[in-house]
Amino acid sequence: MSLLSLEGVVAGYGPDVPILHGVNLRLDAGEIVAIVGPNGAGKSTAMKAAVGLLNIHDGRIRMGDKDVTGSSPESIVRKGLSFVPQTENVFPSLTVQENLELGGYFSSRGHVRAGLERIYTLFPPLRDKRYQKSGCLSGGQRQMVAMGRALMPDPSIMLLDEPTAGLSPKYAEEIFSLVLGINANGTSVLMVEQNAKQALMISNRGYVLVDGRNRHEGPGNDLVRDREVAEMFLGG
Amino acid sequence: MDQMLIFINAYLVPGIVSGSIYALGAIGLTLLFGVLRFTHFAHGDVMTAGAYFALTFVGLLGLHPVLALPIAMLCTSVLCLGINHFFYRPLMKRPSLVLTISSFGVALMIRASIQLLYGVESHYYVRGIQRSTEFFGTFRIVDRHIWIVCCAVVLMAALHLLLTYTRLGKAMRAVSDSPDLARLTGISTSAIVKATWVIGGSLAAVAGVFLGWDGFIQANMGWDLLLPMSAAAILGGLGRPYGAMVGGLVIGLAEELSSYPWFGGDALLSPGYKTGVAFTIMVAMLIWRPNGLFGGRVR
Repeated sequence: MSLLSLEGVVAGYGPDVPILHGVNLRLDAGEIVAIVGPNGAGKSTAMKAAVGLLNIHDGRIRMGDKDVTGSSPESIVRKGLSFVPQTENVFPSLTVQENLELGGYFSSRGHVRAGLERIYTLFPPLRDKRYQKSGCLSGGQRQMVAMGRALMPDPSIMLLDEPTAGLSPKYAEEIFSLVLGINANGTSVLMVEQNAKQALMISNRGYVLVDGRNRHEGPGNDLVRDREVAEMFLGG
Repeated sequence: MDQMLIFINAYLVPGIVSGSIYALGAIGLTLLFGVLRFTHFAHGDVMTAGAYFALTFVGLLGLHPVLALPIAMLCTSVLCLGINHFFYRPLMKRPSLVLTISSFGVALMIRASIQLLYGVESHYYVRGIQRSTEFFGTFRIVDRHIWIVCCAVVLMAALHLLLTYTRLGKAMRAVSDSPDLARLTGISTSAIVKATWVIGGSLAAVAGVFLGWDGFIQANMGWDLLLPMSAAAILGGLGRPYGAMVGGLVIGLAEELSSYPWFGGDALLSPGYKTGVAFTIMVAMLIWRPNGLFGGRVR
């Protein structure tokens, strides 16, 4: 059984105009899965639909054997799914540590303390900046806070929306290796990426979305080599 | 020396007292704006309701106004939760302007209900000459002013501790920063909204009781304070509770000190223009620094 699955999901921001026209996605235990595709293909929309931020017009969203279609984001998050949005992914007026503590909002005190230690080990630069407001951090450090917050509850599923957007190649590299580390610790990762080639190379499987529909899917390495996929947006 | 005494007793102390009252009201306005993203125009009338709740118990049980505070806070919180449940929550998905306008309606309803129940005449918690305490063998401050300022300081300190150190306070600040991200963090927005109403309503009740204690209780008393309270909230930056505290004090002092005869002889401004002072500060802020002194949110 898949950890997370979208089955024929039709969804959009309002009640009328769908952006996804029947998208199928699944994430199995232990996997890294990348969603790639041209701008406006509905990649981020698919993620927002999965976490309950959008109106689902048709189709089903399941976590394991539980149907979570139409559930609120807060209840989906409490079931062990964390989402890191692309923008506005930290609370700017709160300190780094407060951001992380809120990540463990529904965990016990002991769990939060252990979680903070775990995150500071994973992202050492955050330990020195823990009492700074996260709004004052650089883009890369902000992304670390966002990922740290999402990792605090020790989720079984993590959704990342363009984690390397706007970051330097060096930072992007670092984020990708962090994703591998997070995955090695037992969290399955579903990510949307502009750096399609790099993302597919570290992924078990990949999906290509075009115009709100599935276009291709397969093992990450196969998609990287696929001529049609390459011509479409991997830059040949 | 005489001049000094007059300055302290007739201008500075009243300025600090009304500043404390404005601050208590403005904190509620600004917290509600942060969490719900709309200006609650019924906040002044919520204050009035708090003053009348206290009046009921002062009258029934002969309580000291300070002892009636907890009861007034409780009743006003319940009132706010009810208003939220029946009027604002159903409109939550609409543009915030709809909520703002509906809060005008709620303001009228609260005021009209009070007038129906208690009449339109003025009431008093205590009558007669008030005890006062002498300081440094020179100036005297009426005891109720000491009570008002001390209670306001204690409540603001308590709010500071709540916002800084508790799980609820951090969650409130998180919702104020970004409601969507807060939900994605597992924070139940509706619980935070309720908590905000309880805190904002309680502080408004205290402000209402103090206002009534320092003068008289009348159905329009809170509505008349909406302008200086909004000015205080805007001055401090909307969504910034600490800004509202400073803003309240500044507006209160500015209003009182503007009528002090700074250049001898006559008052600088006739006391009739007090409201104008708050209004001028608010307009000036909106033109030159709409974010407020401490960088609130414009959205």
